[in-house]
Amino acid sequence: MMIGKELAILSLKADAIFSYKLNENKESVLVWHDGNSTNITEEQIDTEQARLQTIEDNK
Amino acid sequence: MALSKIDVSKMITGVTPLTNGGTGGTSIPATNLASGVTGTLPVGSGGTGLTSGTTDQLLKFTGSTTLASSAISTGKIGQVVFNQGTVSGSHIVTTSTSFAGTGINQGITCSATSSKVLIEVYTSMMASSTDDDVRLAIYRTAPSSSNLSNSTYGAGQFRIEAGSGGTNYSSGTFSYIDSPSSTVGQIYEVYMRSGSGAQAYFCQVNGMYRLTCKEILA
Repeated sequence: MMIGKELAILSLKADAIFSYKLNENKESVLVWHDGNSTNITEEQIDTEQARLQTIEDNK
Repeated sequence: MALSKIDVSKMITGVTPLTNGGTGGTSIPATNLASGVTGTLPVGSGGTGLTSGTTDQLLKFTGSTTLASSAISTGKIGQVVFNQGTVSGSHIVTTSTSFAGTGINQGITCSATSSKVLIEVYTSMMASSTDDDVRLAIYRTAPSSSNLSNSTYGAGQFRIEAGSGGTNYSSGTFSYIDSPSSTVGQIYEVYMRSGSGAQAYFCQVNGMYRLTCKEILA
């Protein structure tokens, strides 16, 4: 199973409220609905996504 | 001697006047229909009963023996516009329990205030074992913003079941008919929300989406 960025965000903060939507250039962009109070960064998301994907691939 | 037979072709010359039961001529003249006939031929006699019609309209029975010009009254498609693409980067997904924009929108300008707009949505949906139902709504975002569908459930509600630890995929479609009553440009956008706060997917990464707007003429 491919681990999406949304699962990485929820792994970092289980109650995060966010969306991924398309912007005017038809690129997916992250929108925080809760203000991102813990200041999760794109880099943290990518790192967590990679960590979860490794776990998934080793199952 | 009794006269039993006259050879008309050999014994009579000239013409027989109308007053004597003849035609008054040696041939029957053709009638000029453009100038030699007045009045109208009724429907009951195989005519239309009309002297004129309206440009670009059809002939319609307005009674059992009457015909008249009539505009086409059946609905027809005036225009079709669409926004179609493939999602890249990340799934289009939300954990919000309030409607959030997907960014997938399309504008249309109706040619008449009596027109309706048929909005059709196609998406490549997905599910994972921990996700939620996704509720989809149609918003009109311009000239002013408002949710055209149900404030809680939207215009379409989807739940795809996935096996434990796995994922599942499905096509999703729904539609909505708007009556903007305006010839000012309208922009429609698909909004999404989660049923109870877990991730709810509108369109999977690498999946195709399409938002189509059709003007239905009155």
